[in-house]
Amino acid sequence: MILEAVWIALATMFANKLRTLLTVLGNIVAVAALVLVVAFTQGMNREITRAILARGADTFTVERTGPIHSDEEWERVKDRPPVTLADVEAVRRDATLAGHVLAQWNLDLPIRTAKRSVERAQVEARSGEYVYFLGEAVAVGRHFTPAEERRGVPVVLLGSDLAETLFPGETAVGRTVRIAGRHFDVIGVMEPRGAILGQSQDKYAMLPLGAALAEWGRPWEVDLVVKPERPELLDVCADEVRAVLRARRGLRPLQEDPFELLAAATYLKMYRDSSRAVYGALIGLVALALFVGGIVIANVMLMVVAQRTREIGIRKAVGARRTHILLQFLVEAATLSLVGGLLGFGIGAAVTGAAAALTPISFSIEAWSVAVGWGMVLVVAVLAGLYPAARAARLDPIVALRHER
Amino acid sequence: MTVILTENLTRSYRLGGEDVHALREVSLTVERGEYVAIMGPSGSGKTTFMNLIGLLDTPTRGRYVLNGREVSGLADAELSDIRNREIGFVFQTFNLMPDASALANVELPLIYGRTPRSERRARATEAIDRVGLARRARHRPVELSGGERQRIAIARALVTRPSVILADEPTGNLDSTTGVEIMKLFAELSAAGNTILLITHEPEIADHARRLVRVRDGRIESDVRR
Repeated sequence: MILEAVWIALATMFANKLRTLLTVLGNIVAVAALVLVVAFTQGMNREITRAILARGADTFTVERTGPIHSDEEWERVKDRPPVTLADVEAVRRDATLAGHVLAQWNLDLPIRTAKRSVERAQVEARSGEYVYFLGEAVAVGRHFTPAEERRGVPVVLLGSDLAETLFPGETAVGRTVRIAGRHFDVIGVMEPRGAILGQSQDKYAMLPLGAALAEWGRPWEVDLVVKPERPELLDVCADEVRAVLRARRGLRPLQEDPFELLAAATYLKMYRDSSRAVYGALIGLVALALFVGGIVIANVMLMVVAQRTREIGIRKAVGARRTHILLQFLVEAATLSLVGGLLGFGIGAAVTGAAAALTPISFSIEAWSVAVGWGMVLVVAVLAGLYPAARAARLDPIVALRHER
Repeated sequence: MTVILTENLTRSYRLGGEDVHALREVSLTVERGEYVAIMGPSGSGKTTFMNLIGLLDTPTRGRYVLNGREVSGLADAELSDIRNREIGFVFQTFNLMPDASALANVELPLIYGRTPRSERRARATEAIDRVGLARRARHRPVELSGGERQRIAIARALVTRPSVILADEPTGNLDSTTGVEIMKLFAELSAAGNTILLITHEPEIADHARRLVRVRDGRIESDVRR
C-alpha cells in the first residue's frame, strides 16, 4: 500500500514537472545550501587548520601586535615597542623553560640571477635554531648550519616556487643569486609547503640571520618564536617569556602586556570563532528555505487533497481505513519532499565537485551534512503532509463521493 | 440466513437549528440471495438508507445487524474492514479511479483487504471476465463506454465476494439499451446467488427485482415480494 502511494506520488509528480519543481524548490535550496556550505566551510577549515598547524603546534610566537580588526585596536597598540633582537637575547638567557628560541627577520628584497629577477621576494633571515622549527624539509641540497649563521656566511635556501621562477627547468643548487645586490650561494631548495586558499607558500628565500645583519644592519623588529623544552610546558613557558619581556619593559603588575603571545591554538580559536558565524548564517538560511518549502508543500498537498476528494471517497467506499488515507498522503508528501532533497543534493554535489576541480582546495561532500539534509527534509515532509493528510482522512465518504470533479 | 437486519433505524441531521429526519425507524430484513429494489422519489430517504446499510454513515438511533453482527457503533477501522469484506458498491456515476486501468480499479478493494498480490491479480481478472470485459482490462476508464465503465464498477463490487451488492441508481447515467444490459447482468448475478440491494426511483428498473420496498418520507411505505 505504501509502495502504491509512492507510485501515485511519482506519477503525479512526473505528470506535472514544473509544478513539482516549484513545489520542492524550498527543499532543493535548503539541501543544496546545506551540502554546499558545509563542504566549503569544512574544506576551508581543513585547509586553514593545516596551515596554522604547519607553523608548529608546539610553539608560540611573540609579536608586537596580534591581528588587528579595527581602527580602535590599532590606536591602542600602535605605540607599543617592537620586539627586538635584544628581547630575543634576553629570552634565550633568562627563560629557562624555552628549549629553543628563534629570531626571524622578514624582509622584502629584490632577488636577481643573470637572466631573471623577482622584485619583491619574501626573505626570511633566521637564526641558527631554525632547524628546530621547520615544518618542511630540504628537497635538494642542505640546510645552513648554526655555525654558518653565526659567521654570516652568504648562503641561501629557496622555496620551490621561487627556485622555479629564478631557475626554470634548471638545478638551482650550486648557483648564485644576488639579493639586494649581495651575492648568495644557493645551497638548497625546500620541499613545497603547498598553497593556502590558492596562494603559493613557496615563493620565499631563507638565509642566515648573521648574513642579513652583516649586510643590512640591525632590524627594527623581529619575529620571536619559542619552543618549550617539552610540549606540555607550553603555558608555563609562555608565562616565563612574558615575565622576561615585562621586566625588560619595566611594567608594573597590573599594566597590560605591550606584546602578544600567539600559539597555534590561539590562531585556531580565532579562526573557529569566525567560522562559527558562517555556520550561524547557514542555519538561518537553511531554516528559512525549509520553512518556505514546508509551507509550499503543505499548500500543494491541500490542493491535491481537494482535487482528489472523489478518489478519497472511492477508496473509503471500497474499504480504506482513515489510517490508509492518512498514510497515503503522508507518503506522497514525503516522496515529494525527498525528491526535492535529492535534487538539492545533486546540485550541491555537482557544485562541490566543480569547485574541487576548479580550485586548489579539496572540497568534499560531508556525510553528516547529507544525513542532516535528509533528516530535515523528512521532518518537513511529515509536518507539511500531516495537516492535509489528516484532512483527507477525516473526509466524510458520502460527501467525498458526491464531490464534483 | 439473514444478511441484513435493521430495527428502528433512524437518521436525523441538524440543519439550520432544526432536526431533519431523513430516515425514521426503518425495520427491514434481507435474506441471503434476495434481490430487493428500494424505490422512492428523491428525498424519500432511500439514499440515506443505502449509506447506512453500506456503513458509509452511522444511524442516529436503532440497530443494524449485518451477517449476525451488530455494526452500529463500531469505530472507523472496523467499519472500513467490514465495508471492504461485506459490501460491494455500484454507483450511478461509476466512481472509478480515472488514472488507473480497469484491472487496477477492480484490484483496489483487494489491496485494502490485504489479499496477496498474485491472488489479487487472478481474482480481479476473474471478476472482469465475469462482467464480460476481459479484453478491456488494460484500458483506463476514459477509454471505456459508459456501460463498460459500469461493468468494471460491478466487477469491483464483486471481487471481494461481498455479502451484499448495493447498487445506487446503477443505470441513471446510461442510455436505455445499455441500462437494460446492466440490469440483465444484475439478474445473472442474482441468479448466481448474490444478494442485491437496488436503489432506484424508476419503476421499470425496480421491476427487475423480486422484492419491492417503497420508501417515502423516511419510512417504509410497502414491502412486496413477487
